[in-house]
Amino acid sequence: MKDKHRKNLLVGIFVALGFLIFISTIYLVGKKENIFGSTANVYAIFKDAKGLRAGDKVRLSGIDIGTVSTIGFLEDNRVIVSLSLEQETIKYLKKNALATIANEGLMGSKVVKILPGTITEDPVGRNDTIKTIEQIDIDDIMQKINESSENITVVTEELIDITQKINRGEGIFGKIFTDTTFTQNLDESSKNIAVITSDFVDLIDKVNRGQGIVGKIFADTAITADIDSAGQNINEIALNIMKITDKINQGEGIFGRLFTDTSLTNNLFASSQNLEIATSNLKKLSAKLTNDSSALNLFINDTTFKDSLEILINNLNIGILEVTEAADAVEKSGIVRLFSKKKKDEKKKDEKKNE
Amino acid sequence: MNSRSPMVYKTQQFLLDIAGITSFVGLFFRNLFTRRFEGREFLNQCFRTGYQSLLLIGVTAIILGLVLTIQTRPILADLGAVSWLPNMVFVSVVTEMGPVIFALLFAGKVGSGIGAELSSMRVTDQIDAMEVSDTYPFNYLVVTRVLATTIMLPLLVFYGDALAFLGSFIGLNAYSDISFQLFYSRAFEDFFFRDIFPATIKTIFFGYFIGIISSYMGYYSDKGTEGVGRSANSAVVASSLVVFVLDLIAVQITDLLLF
Repeated sequence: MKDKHRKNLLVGIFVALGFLIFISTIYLVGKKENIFGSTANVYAIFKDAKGLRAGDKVRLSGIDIGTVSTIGFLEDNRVIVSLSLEQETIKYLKKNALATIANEGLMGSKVVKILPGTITEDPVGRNDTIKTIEQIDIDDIMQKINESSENITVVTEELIDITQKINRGEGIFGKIFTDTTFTQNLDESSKNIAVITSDFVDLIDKVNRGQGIVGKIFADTAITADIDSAGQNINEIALNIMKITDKINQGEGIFGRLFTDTSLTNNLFASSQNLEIATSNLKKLSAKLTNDSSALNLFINDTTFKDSLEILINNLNIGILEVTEAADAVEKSGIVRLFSKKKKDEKKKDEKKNE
Repeated sequence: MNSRSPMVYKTQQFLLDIAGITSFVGLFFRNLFTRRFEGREFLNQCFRTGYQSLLLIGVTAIILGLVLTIQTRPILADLGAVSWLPNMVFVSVVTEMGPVIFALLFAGKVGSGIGAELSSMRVTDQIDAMEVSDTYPFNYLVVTRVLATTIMLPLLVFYGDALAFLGSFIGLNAYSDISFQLFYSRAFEDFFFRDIFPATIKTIFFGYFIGIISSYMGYYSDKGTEGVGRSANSAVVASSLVVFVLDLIAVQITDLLLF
């Protein structure tokens, strides 16, 4: 009886443990497929399901957040995929989230990848349809590879043609590889380059020793000091120019007023207008002077008038000389001398008084 | 002199066995629902078929997981896909290898036992005596055993799967330092209900048919000690064959329904 009881107990433990393993497995798989948690359905419409199957994973930013629950056709032959997502993850999906069908591994298993969208957008709701992008198909890649290989074929054919031309000595590259004179010239050129470089080495050596003007530049500290002071002066000039321009900008001084004071510019404008009128008048005057028969015109332009004027002036000179001579004669006469003597005495008295 | 060739005789015998098993199945269900259920004997059979097979199944399962992992690892390592190993081993053990291998072991241990036990009872006229004493030997001997095998084999397979999982972890851990959490997460990565339920339903049928065939072979055994050995042998061979045939049918149905 005791043995039977022990047997029954062992059977009970055995069965209980066996069912526990089974239920644990069911729970673990169910948890993974989110059967026991609350889910939210979101839809995505694709042109091509690419072998996606119900139960395949849905990934958001690389994390599994749900599974594909159903796949069906729409009336326009597109494919509608229902995604069963964990309720708490749906808030991370924004309205502009993008879904795409991608390969999970090399063996062709598929996964729906979702790019979450921008953070400023509103999150999607239950039964919303999110936007999709079509992943590049392997066939498309193969097509591109095929096109590339065709291009490579063309390129290689042309390369063959080029190498054949080179072998035949055609063109510049052909000459390089086949023409001996060209190589000789190249050899000579390289020798010349060797000489030049040797000279250059000497030159650099001289510069290092501080010889010549370039050497002095590098070796003589006085020159560098001069250059430094020149630089400082330039800097000061630049600062002064900056100050001047600042003053001009602030409207200080004549130039400042020139650029900023509108009344001055108005005055200048009025002055220029007046100047224009004055020059116009002068022009008219000069025209009159050249054309009219006025006295001033005669004075300037008429040569006969000039000659007459010269004769007149000569006559006047002669007249004045004669008058002077006549005056001297009068002064030397007796009456006039008496009269002038009185005057001279009075003058002398005044001078003495003043002293 | 028998004019029939051995081939024709064997074919005829095979077809007769099929007919006999079919009527035996009908008899099982009739007795299951109409006669008194022998609870104590059922528990006794559960102990003998289930609990007493656990050690055999358990050791085999650990070795199965270990060997599969060690042998598959270099191939996957060449492909740079060692991370797939836990899932690959686990899925293959749960869906196919576990149910079939454990069912074959079960057929070898339990099937042969049932066949030998019942045939020896037949040979020693114990079954006839029970029939005469109105104790319904079919119900007591066959129904309890078939029910026990039907229920115990799936449970043994659960144990076996869990221990193979453990064996696989030990096998992989011997080569690379992988945590149990990571191993578990990778093993369950591509493991779905579609992997569990068909396998479980399959093992129920395996257990049922191992019980039915073994009981049939023993219950209708030939007279004599030779008949006991033949019954035990036939029980194992026929049960194993039926396990493979059922597996083939199960795979076809699963493929048709789920993929």
